Amino acid sequence: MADTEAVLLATGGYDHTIRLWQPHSGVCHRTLQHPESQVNALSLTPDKQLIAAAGFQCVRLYDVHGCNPNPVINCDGVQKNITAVGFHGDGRWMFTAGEDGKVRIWDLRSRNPQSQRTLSVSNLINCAVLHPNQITIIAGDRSGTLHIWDLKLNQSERMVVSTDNAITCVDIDREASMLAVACSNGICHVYALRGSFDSEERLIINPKTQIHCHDTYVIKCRFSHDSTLLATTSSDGTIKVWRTCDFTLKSTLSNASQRWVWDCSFSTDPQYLISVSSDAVARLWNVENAKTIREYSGHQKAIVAMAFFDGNSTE
Amino acid sequence: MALLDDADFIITHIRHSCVTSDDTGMSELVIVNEDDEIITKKAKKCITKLYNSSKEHKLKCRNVTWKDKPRDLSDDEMAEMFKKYDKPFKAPNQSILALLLEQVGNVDNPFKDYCKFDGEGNVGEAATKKINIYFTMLPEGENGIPMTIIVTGDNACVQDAIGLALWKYTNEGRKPPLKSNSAHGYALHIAEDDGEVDMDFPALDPKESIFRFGFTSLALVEKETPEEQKKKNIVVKVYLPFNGFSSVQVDRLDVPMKDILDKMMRKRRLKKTGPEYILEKKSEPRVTIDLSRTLESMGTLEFCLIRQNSKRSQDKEEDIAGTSSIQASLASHQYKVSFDIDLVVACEKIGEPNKHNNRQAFRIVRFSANTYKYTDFDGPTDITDEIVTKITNIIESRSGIYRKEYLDLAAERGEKAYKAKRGTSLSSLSISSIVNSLQ
Repeated sequence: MADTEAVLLATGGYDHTIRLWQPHSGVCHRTLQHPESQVNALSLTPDKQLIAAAGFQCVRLYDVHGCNPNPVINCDGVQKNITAVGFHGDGRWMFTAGEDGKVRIWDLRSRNPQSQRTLSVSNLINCAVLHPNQITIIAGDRSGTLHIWDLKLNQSERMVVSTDNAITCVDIDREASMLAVACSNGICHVYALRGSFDSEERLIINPKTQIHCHDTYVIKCRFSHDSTLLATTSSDGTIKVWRTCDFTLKSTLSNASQRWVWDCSFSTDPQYLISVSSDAVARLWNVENAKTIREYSGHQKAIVAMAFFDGNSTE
Repeated sequence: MALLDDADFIITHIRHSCVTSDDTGMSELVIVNEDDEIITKKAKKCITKLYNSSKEHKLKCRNVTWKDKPRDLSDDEMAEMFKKYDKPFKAPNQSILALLLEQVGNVDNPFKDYCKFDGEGNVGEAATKKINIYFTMLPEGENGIPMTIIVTGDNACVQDAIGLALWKYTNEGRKPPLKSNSAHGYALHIAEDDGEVDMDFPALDPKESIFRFGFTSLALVEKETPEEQKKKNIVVKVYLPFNGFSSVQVDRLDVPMKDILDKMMRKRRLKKTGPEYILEKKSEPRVTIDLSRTLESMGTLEFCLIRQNSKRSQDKEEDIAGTSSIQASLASHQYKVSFDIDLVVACEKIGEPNKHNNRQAFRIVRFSANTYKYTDFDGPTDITDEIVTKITNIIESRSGIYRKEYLDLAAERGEKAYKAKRGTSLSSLSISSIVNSLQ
């Protein structure tokens, strides 16, 4: 008997709530309050005890397992929308990126969290991801430029991906062999990474391929855990799943009513994929046959963010 | 979660909670007066502490404000914070979701279309309405515990509230399973705060906006399916001498013949206080039917209604002609209620008799769902006197526990003040049914 607590699914969006679901039964078992702001991004802490929700000028952290619908930690003092949030692999710090053009490192473990670090860029940041080596943050801005920030050296490099399209999402696979950069023109750029874990070498990024995924925006791009698949979600109402061996299309997951698909996540194996969309419904898909297995409805407005953790077995 | 090992304290705490959470003041009456000594100083202290700690817990939210001027870190600290890992963090390699999906199989909530009206979590953010729903189809004892639903959505109608309640019921895996997979198989009725369904009013119109209603408690009732309705259409024909026949519908074959007689009397607006009527089988004249036998045992569905001591061919139904239209229309609103005599705690006259029409109102107080309810009646003075005397004699001779409690309470509070606070008049019922049942 698998532990039902081992699977966590959280969704949030424009209705100012975060819902926690039992993904296998489709039951929403808790609703967290996120007043005065939409939820832009969600991220679970590595120990799966807290969930961080990025909103307008704030990041709020909630207890996942208790029954308190209100945040336990509230981070503020930031201008504009926070668009990305994530955690160091063992939870020693949290990073955020936002429309104020800053990537921030928050140390939440000390009583007086002061050891913060900032990267400032001249443009609005849409997305950011932490490299599995835990010291490189890659952020994409609205002008189409990638910012590769080495935290150890506190140096950043710029890389122009597109001159007239915004970067909407960046993702790195778990083995850190690939970097995917989604753009607002429907193209997903894939780069090969080298020197990811080498303590002497610096990270080297080489173009690998370009996929013309969608005719309109690509909103998110997500690798599967085993790096074999890449999913792209789009404003055309579909999720496309690509094989990373040759970047051919494996399946297209579409539903007439879902409108913009804002985010998605693979199950560990990657048989399944969960997506969230503008029709206020989250869906569980079978990747192989492109069928919807579950619909998670309950939100009142568009769902734009999700966090999914599929089991804590590490054997 | 608190771990408590002091039984006295727990009891006191529960009592205290009952008192503070009960708006009717009933618990206070019952508990506090006898319990003043039990609430010891120690317990009181503990309660205050407990409440305070739960309050603190609610407010506990650490605030972290971004500071642009970071503290300088030592090299060691820096190296610790920003250390390059030489391999990815361990991650799960087995999908628990896939396992769970296999275990669960295909679940489908037939009411999933309604869950968008679930406003839990939207309270304060959007227009929501909280309703306590009593499921009448639950077994006795469980149907008194309501399910709270919070409806949202600008154009949510009664139908959507029904669907939402059923969705939640299914989601929570409650037993027994629902009979119908469609929200159309159910209706919402007005209920009292204790879950008692008020069937005098029709079900809420399913198309009407739920926000239009002010009710906080509603009862979900299973509608009868067409087959059930069909089954219930047992039509009994009762002939009246010189007056054609009336059809009486009953829902089961095992109803006593008395019910048929009562229905017939009502239908033909025959005064129950007047001459007595009897039933005969159409095929067997002059054989009076024993009213306690069931319809099933009769072997026929055709009967005759005869005034006692008369023959079928003689009497004309003078009563009908003699009944004025006003009386008739009033009488048509009569209905029968029956109270368990063990629950009746008092029967008393209200006010002075009306000199003009020689009528007197009286009241029956009964214990129902942890509170006292009364029903007012009105009838000719002499009959009222008789009823009040008879009922009082009956309940005094039985001396039930509810009556004792009621009298104690009344004595304690001063009868008048008590009555003013407690009662909710349900309806004025016809006296005739009481007279009938007393006889």
